[in-house]
Amino acid sequence: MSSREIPFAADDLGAAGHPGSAGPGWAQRERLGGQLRSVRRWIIFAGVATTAAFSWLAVHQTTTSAAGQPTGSQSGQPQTNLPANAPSQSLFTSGTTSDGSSGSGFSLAPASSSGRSFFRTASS
Amino acid sequence: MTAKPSTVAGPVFERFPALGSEIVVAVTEPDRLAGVAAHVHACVDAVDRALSRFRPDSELRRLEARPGAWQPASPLFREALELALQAAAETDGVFDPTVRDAVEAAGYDRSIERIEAAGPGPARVPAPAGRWRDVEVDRSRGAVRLPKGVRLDFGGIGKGFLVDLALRDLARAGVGVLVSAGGDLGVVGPPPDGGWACGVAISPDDPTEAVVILERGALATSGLGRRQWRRDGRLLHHLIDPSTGRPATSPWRVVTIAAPTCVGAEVAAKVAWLLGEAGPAWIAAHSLAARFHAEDGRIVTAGPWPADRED
Repeated sequence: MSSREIPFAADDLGAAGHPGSAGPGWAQRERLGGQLRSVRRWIIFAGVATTAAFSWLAVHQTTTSAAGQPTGSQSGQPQTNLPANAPSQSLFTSGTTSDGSSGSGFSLAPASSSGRSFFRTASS
Repeated sequence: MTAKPSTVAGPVFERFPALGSEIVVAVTEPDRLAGVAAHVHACVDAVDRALSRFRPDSELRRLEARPGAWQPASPLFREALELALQAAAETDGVFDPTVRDAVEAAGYDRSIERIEAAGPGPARVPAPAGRWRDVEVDRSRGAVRLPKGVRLDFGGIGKGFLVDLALRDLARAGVGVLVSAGGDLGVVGPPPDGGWACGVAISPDDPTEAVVILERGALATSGLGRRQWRRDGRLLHHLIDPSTGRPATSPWRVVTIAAPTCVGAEVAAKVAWLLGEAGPAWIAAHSLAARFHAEDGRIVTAGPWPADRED
């Protein structure tokens, strides 16, 4: 990293001078400058990473929403919204026919007589 | 649990007590009865373990112990829950599986056998239901989340669910089968000669009022039959108005429905009863058939329900 990128390294920490002519204060300023450069690099890295992450999330969410997929519940888990995703067939029209195939309907007829029945429907 | 095999002219059947009701299994071929009955016994046990609110070890009781958390649930429990939520959605919440607290506030916090023997539970302040929209199911993860403050009651769908579950695996067995759970019944396979003759009654202890022939589909009856009791002289029962949390009133004593599935018939019977005078129109709009027995003795039919015979 060039000194142009970290102009404060010398200017802000005191007068620049030849290492050989520097006293104990110069070494301390040099260490502090190094630490500040390291902190600045981390700040820049974190900023770039955060921006990239938000961009990716925005694109991903747009894609999944457009595809009609759930985008997650409050707990972060995918969630089935039941009323919206409920089977398209009504609870009152779906059924299984007498031959075992899927289908709809029921078959009800009057009894030929009001004679004895062995099976009853009642409010129990 | 004692099975009682019986033989009649035509189908043979077995009956046994379970789920606070009587279970009846009938087949058109006598040598198939034992196998079919064993299958139904297994279904009864599975449904009871999953959905019972009276069994401390049921899956429902386990799940409601951690409200607000996502928890794994069995496929059977999730199927029943999704059907209950679908029923609520299709009836605009008239059928509501979150009436549990209201049902218990009315005194139904114990089995109906215990209520009949020792009376209902203590009075509590009822609260409106209506939070079924907050119940979540995650199919991909096989998990459910019950919101805090919401408890489920499968009493309005459990017997029909059991009947449909049992019949689903028997549809291709090549034998005619009828399964009844407390009077909510369904049939599959080739019917016996003359069809399945099914009587209609107010409660299991009342006389048969009409007989219809069911060859396909299901029948269910709801209303003020057995599950009603008194507290301080006031009549209470299990049919709750979700908007108030209190036992509802209706001009109908009982409503009997014919539908393709027993769950559909059971839900529709409750909804038609709760809707009162609007019930017959709702039944017709949903292409179902119904017989309404009014408190004043009137019989009203809707859809292709056959008229009662006069003889």
